[in-house]
Amino acid sequence: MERAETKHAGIVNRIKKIISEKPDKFVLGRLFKVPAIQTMISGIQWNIQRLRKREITEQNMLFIARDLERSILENNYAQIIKGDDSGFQALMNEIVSDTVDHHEYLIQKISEVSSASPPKVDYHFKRLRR
Amino acid sequence: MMQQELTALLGLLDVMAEVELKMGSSTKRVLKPG
Repeated sequence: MERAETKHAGIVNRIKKIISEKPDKFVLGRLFKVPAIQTMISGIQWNIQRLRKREITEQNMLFIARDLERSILENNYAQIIKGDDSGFQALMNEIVSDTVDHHEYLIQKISEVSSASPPKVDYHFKRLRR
Repeated sequence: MMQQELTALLGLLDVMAEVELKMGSSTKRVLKPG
């Protein structure tokens, strides 16, 4: 899974390159206007800063990041930007195809960790099961 | 796509790439993947 997340970061950078080279081929989704995107960025950066200042545990950040990834990139990413570019679509499909495996793996691992430290992880486990 | 939209979107992709990398390293440390 670690390798897959690193791969996803590479995919995101390739998507960025495709969009940068042909911005006219893409349109932002209806629900994702500039202020909404800026709010997302601020929220993510805030959580990253909290982690760096050790205001939240790395374990909690993992779940925050998981929620962000799932809601923004993997579940709703198709609504963020739309384009007919085949390379772009192939990269997006690759991320989606990894999602099911990741989710099942994470549920399994959280269950294992939950046995070791029930209160903290159990809360996130319940959130993930929603 | 307007320039302002492009800038915002590329900024989001930057931060998402950072999150993906962070998730990768956190996964390794916290969940000890197989």
